[in-house]
Amino acid sequence: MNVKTICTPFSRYEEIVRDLESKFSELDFDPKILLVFLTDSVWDDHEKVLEYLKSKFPNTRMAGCFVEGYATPESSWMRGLVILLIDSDGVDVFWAKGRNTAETFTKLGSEIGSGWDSVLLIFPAFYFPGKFDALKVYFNNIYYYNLRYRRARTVEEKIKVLKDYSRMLESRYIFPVNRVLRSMPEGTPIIGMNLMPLEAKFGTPRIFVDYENIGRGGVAVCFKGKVNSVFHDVFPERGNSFEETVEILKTYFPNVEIVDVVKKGIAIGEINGIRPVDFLEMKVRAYKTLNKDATLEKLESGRFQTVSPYGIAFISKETFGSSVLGLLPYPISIYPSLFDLDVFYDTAVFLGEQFRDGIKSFGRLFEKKIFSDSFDLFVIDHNTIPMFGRKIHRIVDFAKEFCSNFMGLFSSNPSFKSKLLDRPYLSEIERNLCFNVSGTSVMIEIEHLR
Amino acid sequence: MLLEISEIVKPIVFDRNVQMVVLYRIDGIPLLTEIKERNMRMLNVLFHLENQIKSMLYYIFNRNIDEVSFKFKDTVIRMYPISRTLVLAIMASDEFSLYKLEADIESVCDRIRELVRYERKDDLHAL
Repeated sequence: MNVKTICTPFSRYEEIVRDLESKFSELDFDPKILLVFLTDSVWDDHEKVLEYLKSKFPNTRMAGCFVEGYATPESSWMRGLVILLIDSDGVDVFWAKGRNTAETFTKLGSEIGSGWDSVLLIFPAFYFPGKFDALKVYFNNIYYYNLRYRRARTVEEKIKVLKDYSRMLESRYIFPVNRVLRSMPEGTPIIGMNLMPLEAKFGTPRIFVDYENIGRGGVAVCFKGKVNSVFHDVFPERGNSFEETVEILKTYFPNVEIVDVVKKGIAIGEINGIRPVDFLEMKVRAYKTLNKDATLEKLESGRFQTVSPYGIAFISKETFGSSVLGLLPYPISIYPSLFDLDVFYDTAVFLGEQFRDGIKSFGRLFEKKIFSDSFDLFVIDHNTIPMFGRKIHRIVDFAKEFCSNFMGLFSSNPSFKSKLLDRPYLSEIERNLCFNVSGTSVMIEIEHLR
Repeated sequence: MLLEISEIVKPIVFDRNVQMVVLYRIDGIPLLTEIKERNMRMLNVLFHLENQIKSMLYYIFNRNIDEVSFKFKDTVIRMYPISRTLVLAIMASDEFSLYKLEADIESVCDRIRELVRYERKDDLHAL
């Protein structure tokens, strides 16, 4: 098995090609698989860069996407791109596209088949298609809220509106992360790269297979051999009951408040009897809800923020685990969720986000390594970038302590599905399925590929 | 060595937010200057920095300041100590979020430190 990581911190096409050419000249094997992870700085030239890579490796299978940053033993950057070149038959790429979550990922699951030891699943958690579609979301929201939700007299009627709205969201924009993982085959550990950029723009997140943009679809990179999949979250263990988990959240997070939520599917109608954005504005005086034009302008210029230090922690009816949904001041009356809310209690917890122990808590991922001489591919929650700034380099220092050869990605909070969890994670929101909108990290240790 | 440093700082010089990258010696003499647009405003900023640099460097090296930041109307200037004798100054527009740029500046500082064979003092950069 040959594995090599090549990266370039440059953003312009000419500089990228110059740098990559010199690095490719030292390559001593023909890769069978190319995993390409680009950062936002390459956005303008990324199609040309992919064309160049296609001309360089025309017969090599390729998969990739945009991430926030990456790290190798030599350096870490939030710009340029990183390529993982693999020469082995123990890795393959599959992809699928369908009308909704179930169709896309059931199709992908049957494509994958069985016999794999780990799967890296790349898909857009929230897809921002284009200006026209963004306007459609806005006007749909007005229609569903003003003409249907507000006129509903009972909670049951409201839930019916939310169910319809939720179905619309799922068919065009959102792949609810827990539903995606549920649709995937049992038995093989699945690492989910549920993409949602820190600062979104139209046409993001972007995912590629064989040098082509696949739009709103799912890609599975499957590994076979001596491979170990590891998950970690920075939170304390969950409780054994709703009350216990609430107590744990109260102790861990600041500004905690119990709230009642009207929700269904992936839509929230109200928090404590008012619209979620009004609730956020009431709690955090500094937040003023943006208007439609300001929101569209942010999406056009790539400054549409998708992270927030305030959110609602939902508690699972199945495991008493918890996942937080960040609240942002955008002009949407019915608030969308990135995960299916049906498995959660209607009573939730409003909180301000923080990570106890700071950046050190993310380093514990590497302590869970079981192979000493493996190539390690890890994904760290991208919330660490705005949260820790320059200090995120400490994560790379932690990695160097335990890993000899690695490639790290800073990307959306990864999810995980496996029967082999080492402790009762707070993020285990369904049996053997972990997801949280922040504080998670995953790693694939590759000792040998078949 | 300056050529190598110039190559190391290149990725951040090309950043859309960055207007200027200057490597200063301890006495305030610029060793390397990469300026995107040479205009009067930039000259004024450089003049201002020249007047400030010595006292700033004193604070960086004698008071263990990790980073110094000036904020003008829509521009921010940050200075990062690289070694006991070198400081990297970056001037950037603050229209866009700078957290990714800051992470990359740390990468650049680390690579220059490797080049000048300077071992980072833990007390200067402790968490």
